[in-house]
Amino acid sequence: MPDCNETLRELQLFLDGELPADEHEHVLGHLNECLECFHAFDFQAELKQVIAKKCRTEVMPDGLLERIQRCFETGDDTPVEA
Amino acid sequence: MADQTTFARDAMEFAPQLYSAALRMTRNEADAADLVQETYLRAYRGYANFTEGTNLRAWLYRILTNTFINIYRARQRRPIETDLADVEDLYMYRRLDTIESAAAARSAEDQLIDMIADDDVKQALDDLPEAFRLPVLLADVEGFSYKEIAEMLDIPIGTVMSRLHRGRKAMQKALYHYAEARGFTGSATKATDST
Repeated sequence: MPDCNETLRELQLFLDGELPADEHEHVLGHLNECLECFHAFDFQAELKQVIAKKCRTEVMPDGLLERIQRCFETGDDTPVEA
Repeated sequence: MADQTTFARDAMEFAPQLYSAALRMTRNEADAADLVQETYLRAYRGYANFTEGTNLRAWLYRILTNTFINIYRARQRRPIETDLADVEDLYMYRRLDTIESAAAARSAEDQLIDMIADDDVKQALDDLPEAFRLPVLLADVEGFSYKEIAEMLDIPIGTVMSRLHRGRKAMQKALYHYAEARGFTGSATKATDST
C-alpha cells in the first residue's frame, strides 16, 4: 500500500492518463482507503476539467476562415488585415 | 503521402480550436488570427510530409506551436519569462479545505465551478510564463500526451512533467486569489453562518 506522499506524487501522472496501467491498482487502492487523498484527487481532477472547459471557448474573428482559404489559392503568406 | 487537394476538407475543422490555443499563446486577437493563418499556410505547403492515418490534429498543433515559438514570440510585448516562484503543493485545495466542510450542502464540484469565472481561468493561464503556459495549455486544454508535448516543445518528457506541475500550482494560487477577490471564499463562510 503506497503512502500519501507517494500517491500525491502519482496523482499528476494518473490524472494525465500517463500512469502505467499496472500501477493504477496501487493508486486506486490508496484512494479507496484514504479520504484525504481522495479529496485531493477529486479536487485536482475537477480543476483540470475547469481549465479545459473555460479556456477553449474563443470565437474566431469574422473572415478568418475566408482569409485562410484565400491564401491557399494565392500562396500568399502575408497576413491580410481585415 | 497526403494529397494537398484534401487538405482543406480534412484540416479546416480544427480552425476554431487552433484559434483558441493561438489566443492563449499570443494573448492578443490580431496575433492569434495571423498565427492561425500562418499555421494553415505552412501546413498546406508541407501537407505532403504528413503521414495519412496519423494524428492530423497533433500535427497541426505541432506546426502551430513551432510557428508561435519561432515567429510570434519575437513580437510579444512582454519579455520571455522562464521562471516561476515556487508554490506549495495543493495550494488552492489546502485553502479551500477549511471552507469545504462548511459548504457540505453543495458538492465540492459545484462549488469549484461556481467560484471560478471563465475570464479568471483564462487570465491565470495567460499570466503564466511561456515556459509553463504552453505545457499547461497543451496538456489540460488540448489533451495532448507528455510525449506529444515534449515533441512539440522540443524538451525532455521530465521537463514537461515538472513544468506542468509548477504551472498548475501557480494557476491554483492565482485562481484562489481571484476567487478571494470576488468574495467567494468569504461568502462561503457567510453561507455557513446562515445555515
